[in-house]
Amino acid sequence: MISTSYSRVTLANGLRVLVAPDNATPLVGVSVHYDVGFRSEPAGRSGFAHLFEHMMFQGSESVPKGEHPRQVQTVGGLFNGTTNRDYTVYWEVVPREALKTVLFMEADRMRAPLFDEAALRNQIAVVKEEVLKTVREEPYGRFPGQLTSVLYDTFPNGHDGHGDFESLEAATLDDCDAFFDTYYSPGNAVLTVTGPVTVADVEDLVGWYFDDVPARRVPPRTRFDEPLLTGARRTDESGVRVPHLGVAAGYRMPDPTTQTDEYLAHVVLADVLATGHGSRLQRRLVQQTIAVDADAGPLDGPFISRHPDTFCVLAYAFPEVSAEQMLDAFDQELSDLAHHGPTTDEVQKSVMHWTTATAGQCDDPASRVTGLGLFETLHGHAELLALLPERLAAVTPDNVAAAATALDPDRRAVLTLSSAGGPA
Amino acid sequence: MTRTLTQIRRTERGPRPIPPMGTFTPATLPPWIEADLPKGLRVVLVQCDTVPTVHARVMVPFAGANPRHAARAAVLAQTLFAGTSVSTRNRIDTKIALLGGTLRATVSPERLGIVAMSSAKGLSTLLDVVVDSLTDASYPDDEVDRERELLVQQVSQAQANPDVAARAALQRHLYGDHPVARELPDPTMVATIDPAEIRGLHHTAVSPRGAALLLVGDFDLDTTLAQVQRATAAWTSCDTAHQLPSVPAVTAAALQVVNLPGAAQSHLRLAAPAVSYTDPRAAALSLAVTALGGIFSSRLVAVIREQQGYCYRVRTTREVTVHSAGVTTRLNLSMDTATDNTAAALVALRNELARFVAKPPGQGELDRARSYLLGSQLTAGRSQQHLADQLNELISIGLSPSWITQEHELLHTVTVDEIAAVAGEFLNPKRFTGVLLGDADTLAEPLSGVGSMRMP
Repeated sequence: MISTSYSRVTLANGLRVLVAPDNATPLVGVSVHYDVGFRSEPAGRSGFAHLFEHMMFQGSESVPKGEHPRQVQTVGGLFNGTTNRDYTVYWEVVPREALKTVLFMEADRMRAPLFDEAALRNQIAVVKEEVLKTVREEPYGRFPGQLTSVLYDTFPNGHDGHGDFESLEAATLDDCDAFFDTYYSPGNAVLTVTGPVTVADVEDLVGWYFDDVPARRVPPRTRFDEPLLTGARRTDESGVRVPHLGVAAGYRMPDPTTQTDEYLAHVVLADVLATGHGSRLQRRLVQQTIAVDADAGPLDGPFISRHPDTFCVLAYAFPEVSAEQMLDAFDQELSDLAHHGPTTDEVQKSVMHWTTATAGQCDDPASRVTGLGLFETLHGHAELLALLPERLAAVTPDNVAAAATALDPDRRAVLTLSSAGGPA
Repeated sequence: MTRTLTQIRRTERGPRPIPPMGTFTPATLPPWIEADLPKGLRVVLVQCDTVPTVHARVMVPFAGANPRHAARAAVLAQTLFAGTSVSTRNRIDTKIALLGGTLRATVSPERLGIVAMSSAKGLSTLLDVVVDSLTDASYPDDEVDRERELLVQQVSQAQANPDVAARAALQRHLYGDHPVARELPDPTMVATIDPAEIRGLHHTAVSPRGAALLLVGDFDLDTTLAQVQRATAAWTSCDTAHQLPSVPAVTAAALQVVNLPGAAQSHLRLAAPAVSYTDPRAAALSLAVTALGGIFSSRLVAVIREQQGYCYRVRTTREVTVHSAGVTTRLNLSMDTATDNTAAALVALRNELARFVAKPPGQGELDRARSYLLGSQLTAGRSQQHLADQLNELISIGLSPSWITQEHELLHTVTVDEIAAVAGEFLNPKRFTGVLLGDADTLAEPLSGVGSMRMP
């Protein structure tokens, strides 16, 4: 049984601190989740939240540029930052002896980050290279992420976080200033510490380093909800060097925070559809050599975003297979599940999948600390990370049937991606 | 009430000293045992009860000189778990899935690998499933037919990825027709492989002699060793697992430009000869490579990325290939950069290599690299899965898990003079060769002024 005994404290400046002691590892994990992601970046500034995340590594009042990675890596530590739809996280995993230094550096950039023109221009260039590498030059770099542009009408929900180059190049120091001041206040952040620590020691250190980060206004939570589609939509895109026609169907989902039980039924549904060789779409599409691969689930992963979240079913077609054949297969499997539900074995496989996957996530200090902080930040419920298998075990075949029924083909969005030069 | 930049950048108190990192204890392995079983299988068990799961790795040397080998091996890996004389693929899949497990086979020019995981309770079932397939995989005709078709498509999907294409171009550039270069099978050849060929290959090449089994997870060592002995007793073969024919060392040559029409980014993949882990210069070379481009706080990242903005990632790594004449070790250096930046980035990279030789790391840079390597053993083995991958890599190149602690000693004694010596010997830009995969038409003019380069 994985421990769910965590301690919470909120500093006077509003910073929420979560401590999850674990003596089985010599490594401490530290993460800071800021409650802002690319869904909140201003229109005309697509990609800015991610660019800003890079700027947070450009030094702070007491930590010159380059010193953060140097300090962390001097003890063999790991660090990174990622920008997601609804949050941005910075994290480190280091031997326990380095905890103080890491907390100090996170506090310093929360208090007084350094932004200068040279660093901004440099990081715009780096981010453009990153987007080229991971998105534009990858045959499926934007697939199925672009599905949101079909399923949603507003800029926050409909754009992805990579940004276009014009928007990136237009970023200014004033933008950095405003973004930091609006979204990076201590009251808009969650600090999580895991590993061989005591709650008292961590709270002492945190008080020492973070207490004088000035309190600032916490931005009111933006509600990004929009009406359901009133009819099905479809967009066909093409790209270079795309080897197989990609077909993705996107559906709206229950709110992960307030309709957690219904949301969990969708997580099981995703496994029944596409996890493992024995899953429905693997048997129907891949084992019949109609699709090269198939997948299903919340677009960013379970619980990785707030409402509205997107359930995605996708497949990559064999040559000569049409998008319609794929979509028919999705519809038939969903209809079968809606009418008859999954078998108990299918549900049990999903529970076991998440039992070992959750154990794996909790075993790795990097995924544990970022996972706890993510559940705390987005859903106010860090415990859910370790309780996920238990909660999934309560999902019945009828719940899964209801989830399949809710995926309405008349209110879904379809995105296809084919090769620009015709069949590859 | 937005604050100005000046207000954000400064506090009244001003800059504060960064609290120093404490001294950490380098990694030690959890309780572990190793045993060489009578049929030639090497077994390594590591008890790590952080969570109730178990991770398994099997490694079988699996090279072949036959031109059809890469295609045969790929189909074999794809269908190894597709049925035995007593079980169907769907039964195998269901058994594993009900343990929360995963099971897959991988293949490279050097070896066949199995990567598996399950709940700790499922260990004996997992072992049985793995060994049943190693001893009794039946490669049913319909499974082989289908998986062959899938594999053809998966290979074309992989080849569309520039990383994969650049790696393939580098291997061809370095090794030509040598089997080590055939990392992906030729799709047209895959389509001609028949089930009998696969069964034949299994019979001669899936042999325990030279193979290794690693388990990391929540179990008792002695009980599990006995269990492994029982479970694997049926895995026998008269043949010895097959090693690659001798792999030549990398030799210096001009950089080859390989055309990827329309590419917005160029993919640079360089290689240079190095020495194996057991060479007296190996520890100094590890430290030098770390300081040069092994980590974010290295010289290449600091200059090429964080000053010049030419790339998102630039990195140096070491690669070890095991073959019949021993091991061959090389350095890899990779960088991806926009087509427009390519010529300038390449010049900057060569300059940094030259500067590294002319001005090798001093004591501070050496100490940081050493401390990184010691600490990184802790973070590299941070979970059962990571520990399994870390140890499997050592075992695959013929080292014992105890190498982790042996390396501590070797790293401790390296001096700045030794770093300077290996920098001069191994990191001179003239020792590197490789490929640049990019849009050759657009690159032709800007690259015309950059030396030691061959256009397609």
